[in-house]
Amino acid sequence: MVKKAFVKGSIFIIILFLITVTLNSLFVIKTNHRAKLTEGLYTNTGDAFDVVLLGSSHMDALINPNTLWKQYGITSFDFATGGQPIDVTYYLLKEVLKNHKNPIVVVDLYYLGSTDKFGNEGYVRTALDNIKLSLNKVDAIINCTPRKQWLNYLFPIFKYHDRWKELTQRDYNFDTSEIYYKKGFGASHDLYGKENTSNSSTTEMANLPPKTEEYLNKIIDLSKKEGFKLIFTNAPHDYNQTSGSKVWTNQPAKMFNKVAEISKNNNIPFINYNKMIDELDFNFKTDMVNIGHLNINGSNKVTLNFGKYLIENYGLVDHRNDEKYKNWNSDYILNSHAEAAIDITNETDFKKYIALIKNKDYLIVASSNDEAISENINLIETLSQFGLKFESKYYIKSNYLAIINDNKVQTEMLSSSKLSKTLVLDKDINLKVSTSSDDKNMPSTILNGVELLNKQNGTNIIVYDKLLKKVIDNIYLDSTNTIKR
Amino acid sequence: MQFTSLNFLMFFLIVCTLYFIISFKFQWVWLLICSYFFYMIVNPKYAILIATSTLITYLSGLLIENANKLSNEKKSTRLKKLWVLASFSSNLGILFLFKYYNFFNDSLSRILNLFSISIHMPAFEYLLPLGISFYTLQALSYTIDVYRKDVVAEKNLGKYALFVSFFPVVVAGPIEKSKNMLHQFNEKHVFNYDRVKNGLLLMLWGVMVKIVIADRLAILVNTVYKTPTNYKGFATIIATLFFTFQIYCDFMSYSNIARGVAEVLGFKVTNNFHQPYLSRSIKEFWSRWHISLTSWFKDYVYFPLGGNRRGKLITYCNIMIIFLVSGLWHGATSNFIIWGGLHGLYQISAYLLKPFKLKIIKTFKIKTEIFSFRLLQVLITFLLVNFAWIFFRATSFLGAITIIKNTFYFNPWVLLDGSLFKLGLDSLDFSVAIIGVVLVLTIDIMSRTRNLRVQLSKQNIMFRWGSYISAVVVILILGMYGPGYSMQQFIYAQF
Repeated sequence: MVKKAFVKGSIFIIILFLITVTLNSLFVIKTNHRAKLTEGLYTNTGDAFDVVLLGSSHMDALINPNTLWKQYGITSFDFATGGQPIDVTYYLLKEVLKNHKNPIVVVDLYYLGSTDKFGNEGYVRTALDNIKLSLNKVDAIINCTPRKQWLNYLFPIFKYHDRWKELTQRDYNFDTSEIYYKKGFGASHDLYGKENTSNSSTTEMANLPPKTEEYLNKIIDLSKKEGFKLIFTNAPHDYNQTSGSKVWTNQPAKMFNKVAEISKNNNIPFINYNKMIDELDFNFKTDMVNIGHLNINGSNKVTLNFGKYLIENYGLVDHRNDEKYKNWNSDYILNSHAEAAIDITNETDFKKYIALIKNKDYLIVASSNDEAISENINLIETLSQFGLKFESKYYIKSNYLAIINDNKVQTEMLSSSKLSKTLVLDKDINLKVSTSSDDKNMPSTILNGVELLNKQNGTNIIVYDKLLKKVIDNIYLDSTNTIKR
Repeated sequence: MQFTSLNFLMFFLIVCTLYFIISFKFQWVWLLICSYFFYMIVNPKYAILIATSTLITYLSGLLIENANKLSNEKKSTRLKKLWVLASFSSNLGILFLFKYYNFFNDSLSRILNLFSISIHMPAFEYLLPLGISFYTLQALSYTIDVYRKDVVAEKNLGKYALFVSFFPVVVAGPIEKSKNMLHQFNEKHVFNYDRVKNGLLLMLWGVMVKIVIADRLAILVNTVYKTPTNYKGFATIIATLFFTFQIYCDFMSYSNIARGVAEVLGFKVTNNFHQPYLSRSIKEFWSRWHISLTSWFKDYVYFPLGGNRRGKLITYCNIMIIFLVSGLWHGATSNFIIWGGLHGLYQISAYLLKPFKLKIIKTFKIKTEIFSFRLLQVLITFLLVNFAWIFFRATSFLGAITIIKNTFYFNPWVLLDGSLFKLGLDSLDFSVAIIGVVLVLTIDIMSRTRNLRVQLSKQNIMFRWGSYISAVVVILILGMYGPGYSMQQFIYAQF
């Protein structure tokens, strides 16, 4: 009888466990961090990375794998997640090494400055919630989170179960592959506009907080034990980023001098980019997005320098002409499109905007139902670059709809009544454009049955990227020819 | 250690594993250790009180039994009464000190203030010991049971201590009488698959009702009852209705978990509830609600006072006494006394109005054994109980009066304009709460005619296991637990 109970009880617990694990992945918040860790750790295990990048958000925007590929033929992946404490980095590195054999490991050490016993829960979860259940994960939970939270980390459903009301299709079918082409990298295109207010030239040293020093040593020991090549970095940032913080060292510049000493003693390169500002021709105003993070310009400068360093010191093979790596070329093109899309969505000058969207890979839909176009001669002239054949007299109180594909006018319609057009752009993507929505007399765009939100009067323009297979921008122009989103 | 916590689950697993491994001779010792551990984990100091109550009632049992042996019957009776009195006064004295002293102190000061007499008595600042109202009654039942010769005095102090502190029931009952429970500690309980499974099922149902339904209802109730002046009409009515079901789900789930735990270990514990909201009268309600308490008061207070054998007036007085004491037992506030008094009044009114009611039935030839009449009775009873709960839940007398006043504000538009979903539960949570209440009532109705656990055990494995797993998944997803929620204490664990 006891045996029967034991067998049945065990089966019941196993079923429950499997259901719980399934529910965990359903309820965990679907972020880009989740997508990139899933892709980098578990989906693309066959994709050999020459270099893996780890750390916090500083690393997220420091080295661009696509630039490394384009310039040097080096394959890499960025596993950094925002606010990632160094202890979590250690366990994430172990997870990376389970799935990728012998890469060069680059770890940004910004979080060595943290004096907190445990990292911020949200940041810790960004990494740990997206690692599959394993002994390594259990070890990470025990060492990186408070005891009271262990079960909540082990079974994230305990934390996220009240998301049952907000689950969407994205939670059930989270497509992590969509952004694989970014290789985990993410940098803003915005400019900081301020100078560095801190001084990193000191040669004095200060001790590391005990816990982070312990994990720095653990990472070093791991590299010796596993035999992988390790490089430490410190991304350019203003040390005043953490000044006054109660959970951060108050002497970051001196601390990194100590790190340099520890690295040297262990024969591990430490590239302190904060001390290479002149060499990089780095300008805080234009190369940073904020006090702590590089923007795309800054990242390009650091990546080119780092790639050169890798080539000179590690003799990495250039894979660019290797057939096995052809996907890296197509991923590079996708990434270029994604980066261009950011510039497009940041642009507010219409003339410059038109120049940016003049691309044969874009499909552009323009629609209007009032005199906005006809009253704006500049706009007409600008639009005529696409070959649109309108004359202002026709547009008074008219419905106008035009589609530009491959930089050519595919459709141009004019009518006194409502115009609409449905386009099947890809297997699962259909776009319905109308000069007048059902509820309001305004141009409307419906993508896969969902109306895009910025339904406004004026001329509406939608830009669809045929390579990225998504609408990358949706603007409207008011009578003053100002771009609004 | 709350029944719905993972800590309790771990504790229970350890208790059960060792309980079924060790020899029968030591099972009670193990349970005693576990019971005291369970009790002391909240506040070890209060173990002194439960041990004191245990010792006093244990000694009273031995002394009463010794007095029984005296050849002089008069002297024997006098001595026995003395020991009963000593046991009662010391146990109730402790209870009074911890639970009622401050209340009586305040009340006395207020009364004397009316006559411009000012006195200053020191306040008693200790927290109410866990389960004191429950274990005190349980221990006292033993003194009387021995006095009445319903049980023989227990010689083994350890086993008797286990009877008083038995962990499934020590915090909030059911209040077991010694004649029902004590002998079970001498019985051998071996592992029985079906019994263990049934016990676990009862626990699972209890946990689901508590953290999916009761704690969800509590959110809306707490919102309205915390600041009753801010809510009117249907908001107030719905909050009171929700509390009516909250307290039922809360207490019923506790009792079910306690029964389930005991059943797994091989003990039979009183079923505290028997579909109370399907009662057709207040009298019937009290035979179905908190059955162990009603039964205790009936056996040890109502009958000794003469019950209904000493004329109508005395009967009515006895009823009123029972309910006022019952109200006071729940808590030392005027609201609890009013709540008890209301139930007393309901019952006395029912007796007084009975001839009038029968006359109407006869005059208008009303059929009484048909569904519509029964439904009317159930609804009237439900509304009366519902009204009384206002005093039970409100934090003060004025709060209760505000709730009652605000109930009579006609604002039907709030039922449709979404206002109800701004009381702490959005539309989805509100729907889950309603579905939960309907589920509990459906199970209650089905339980009237059949044993659902037996019925379930006759189904195919797919259905059975599907039900068990669905229940766990519902708890996992819809339960009010984890970070962001503060675990709601069982309401009766506060008494």
